[in-house]
Amino acid sequence: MSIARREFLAGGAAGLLVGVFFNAPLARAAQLAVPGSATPAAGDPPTQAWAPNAWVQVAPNGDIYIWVGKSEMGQGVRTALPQILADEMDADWSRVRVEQAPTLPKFGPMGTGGSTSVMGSWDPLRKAGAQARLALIGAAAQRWRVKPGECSTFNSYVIHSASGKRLSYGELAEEAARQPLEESPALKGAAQRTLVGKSLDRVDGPAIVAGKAQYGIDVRRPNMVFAALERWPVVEAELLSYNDSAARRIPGVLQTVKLPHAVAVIATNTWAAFEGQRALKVRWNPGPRALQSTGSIFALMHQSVRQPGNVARDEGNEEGAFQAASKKVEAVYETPFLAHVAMEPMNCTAEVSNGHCTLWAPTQNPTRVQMDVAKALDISPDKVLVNVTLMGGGFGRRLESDYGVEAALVARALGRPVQVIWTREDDVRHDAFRPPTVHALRAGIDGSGQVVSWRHRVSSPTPAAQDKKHFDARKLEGSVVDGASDVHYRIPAIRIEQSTHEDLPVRVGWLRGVYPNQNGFANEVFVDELAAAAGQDPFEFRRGLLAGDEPIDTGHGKLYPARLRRVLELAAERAGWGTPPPKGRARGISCTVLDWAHTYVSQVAEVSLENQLPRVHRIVAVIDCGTVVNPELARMQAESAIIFGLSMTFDQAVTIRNGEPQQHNFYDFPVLRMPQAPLIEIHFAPGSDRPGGLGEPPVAGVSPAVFNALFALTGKRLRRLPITAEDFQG
Amino acid sequence: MPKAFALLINGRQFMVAAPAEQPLLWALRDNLGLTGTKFGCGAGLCGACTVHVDGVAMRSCQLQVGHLEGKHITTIEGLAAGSGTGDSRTPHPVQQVWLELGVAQCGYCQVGQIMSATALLASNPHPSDEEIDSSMSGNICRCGTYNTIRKAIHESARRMAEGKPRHAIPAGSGGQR
Repeated sequence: MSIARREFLAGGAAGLLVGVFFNAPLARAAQLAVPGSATPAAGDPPTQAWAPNAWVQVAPNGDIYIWVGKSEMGQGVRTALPQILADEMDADWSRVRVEQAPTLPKFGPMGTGGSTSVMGSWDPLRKAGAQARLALIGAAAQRWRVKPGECSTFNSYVIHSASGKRLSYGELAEEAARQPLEESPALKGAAQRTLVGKSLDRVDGPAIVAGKAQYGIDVRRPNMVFAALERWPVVEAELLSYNDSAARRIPGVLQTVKLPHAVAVIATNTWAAFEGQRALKVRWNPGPRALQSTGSIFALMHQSVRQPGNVARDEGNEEGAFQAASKKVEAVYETPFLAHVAMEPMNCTAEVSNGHCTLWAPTQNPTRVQMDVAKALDISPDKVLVNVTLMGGGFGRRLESDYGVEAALVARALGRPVQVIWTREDDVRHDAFRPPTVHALRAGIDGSGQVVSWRHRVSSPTPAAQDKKHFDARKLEGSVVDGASDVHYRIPAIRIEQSTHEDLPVRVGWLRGVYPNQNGFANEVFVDELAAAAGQDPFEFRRGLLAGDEPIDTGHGKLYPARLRRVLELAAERAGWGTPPPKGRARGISCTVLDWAHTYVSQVAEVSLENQLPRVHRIVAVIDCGTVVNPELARMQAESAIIFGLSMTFDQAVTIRNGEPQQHNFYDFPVLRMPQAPLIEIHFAPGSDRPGGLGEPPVAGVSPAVFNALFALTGKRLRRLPITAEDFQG
Repeated sequence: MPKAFALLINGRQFMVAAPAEQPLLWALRDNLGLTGTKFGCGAGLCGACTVHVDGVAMRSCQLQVGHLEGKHITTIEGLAAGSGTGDSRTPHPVQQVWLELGVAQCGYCQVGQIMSATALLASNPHPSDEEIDSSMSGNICRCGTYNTIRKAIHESARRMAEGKPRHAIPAGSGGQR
């Protein structure tokens, strides 16, 4: 992870919350909720509610409002995070009302990414719950004139068992407000938890199936208009002139607005805005970046990995060990630019009046939107309020702030509320793409089949090069070697090098799993090549490289080979490794660690070729992400990551010609559909009490497991993502 | 000036003033405020905007309002009422199963998935896995809920054959599975 991303995530974890504002229709949808479920809040808590900290409020009627500071995009934070707090508080789950935190100072900086939501919220939310619980006990003890130590709590009641007295949290809320808060409250142990570990229903489920869940695109404000933007075709292209006469003749189109990098068509409805955008004639000077194409960008990366790069890790004498090895293996791998294509295209609704800007943003990064909008409008950040809506997917695309900034600029120009909405073609063409990579690996194997050296050079135009004011390509950039420098095998000589390039014709950004996806792909296919070169079984070979229980120090963290060995062995066992696969099929294995998520994953893919096309039939994944807060939501999150990884494995690639992305919509940037979805079996094998991250870790191991299975099936070694129809034809 | 079209949506007639070629999707969302139907691609490729037209699942981004007079259009907002119970708050059995199995993740595509699934079950009460795959292949889910959707369609088929939608989660269970 880059420094920038780490800092942002650390900030987000310190004061974490999620927010969505629900209005009356959603409140009615909540009536569909099954009995005993927490529900989305139907409005703000009553003013007399007691708020021991930013995250929880107790109303006199017993409703417990829990504020979520992480953004919901399907991963289940609006359920799992309140679950953590409510457990520690011994709150009645059916009285929990989930509120979404907007960008107010009391909630601190907010951002959702890096698989950090549960692991980063674990301590602060447990503390918040425990503080509330102790204050409620204190209030009851005072009223009863007993010692707090004689009282216990259960399901929103304080109980004094010696006298048989009990008082509800609602009854105690007012008095609890006068109790001091315990700075370091004792926290529950695993055996005392009542909600954590249970598959509580997703709080937004009823609204979703009723069609009443409010995503960004569903926001409606009085007097609101819609806008579609024709943006620069190449980054930093110059807008020379435009003709909007045809656009303005379209019924419903009101006017156009010129922005620095785009022309906005304003209309009374979305479709008229889209038609107006199509009818615009804009002349651009594409600028020097338009000279680049996929071929030239990859040529630079290939050139870079043929020479030494910035050194990220250097242990032992890699050069000497490699030269002395009895077997030398070398291979080069490639991964492409990728679009995120979240189901809900980018959009944002904004209002600017009296020097204040209010946004309703489907964003993973409310604080960044707030800061960047403030800068663009030249007002102070406290004059910008970002309300976070539900999101139809995020996958890292919604870590950017572009959709928010342009909505704010258009709203200011119009002086009325506007929803800027992107067509799918806009969403693909103007994505901040997952950057491509080229990897050159080499390793030496000695006479007994032991790996004695490992070198991995990776080159990629990292998003960090855009984010940093004073980026220096001659200095080590950590993001690119994330998943490479922390290679999870015990090898005596390791050298990891990195290079990067700037000034691409497109923007690049973070995508679910970030660089450990690409580096993990290269690592795990290469290890399979080494196993083949050593004449060993790929599972046993990996097991051998994971021997010993002492942690591996990667220079910026510790990896526990025993945890990885355990999931590897369980995956092999559950997948029937070593037994013959069904006729016409073969298996491939991978194991990966996302060190900053503290999560260990092993996967086995079972594949066949049908009409010369690869087909994945089954994926078995064993995951050690520590304590699992909500097993059913976690299982779905893991399945989601695997389906996401499969989409990346087949056919997905963005190509660039004359500086412009060549893909448009789901027909030329395909995603996995139901007929291609394999059977997926997820097993959790917690190896620690502290939860790790889960949204990203299972992504990385999917492609290599499939590649390795196809090698086992056909003997053909593929080294480039994605797999295409041509790979197995002819 | 655009003329007004009489559209029969969820059993009620609405007058929609729009150009004849305006897609139904935007009439629903922007003219009528029925935002349950989602925009995903605008090209009939993703299924997020699926509605029923005379009982058949169709992509509302590909239907022009000028061609829809006299057709019976059902959106997610009218699905519950159409389940025959007479109580608009009683979910369609498919919605109920979707909730009980916890199909949704981000949920954005799920309205389209539910509309495709209900149309499938209306014409084929006991679809096989292959039939499910083929009739649901036009509905993309980026969260990857496909396996749970398959399960939910089989369970809905079973439930609807029994003819009695039931609440599988008894009161007081804390909403746990």
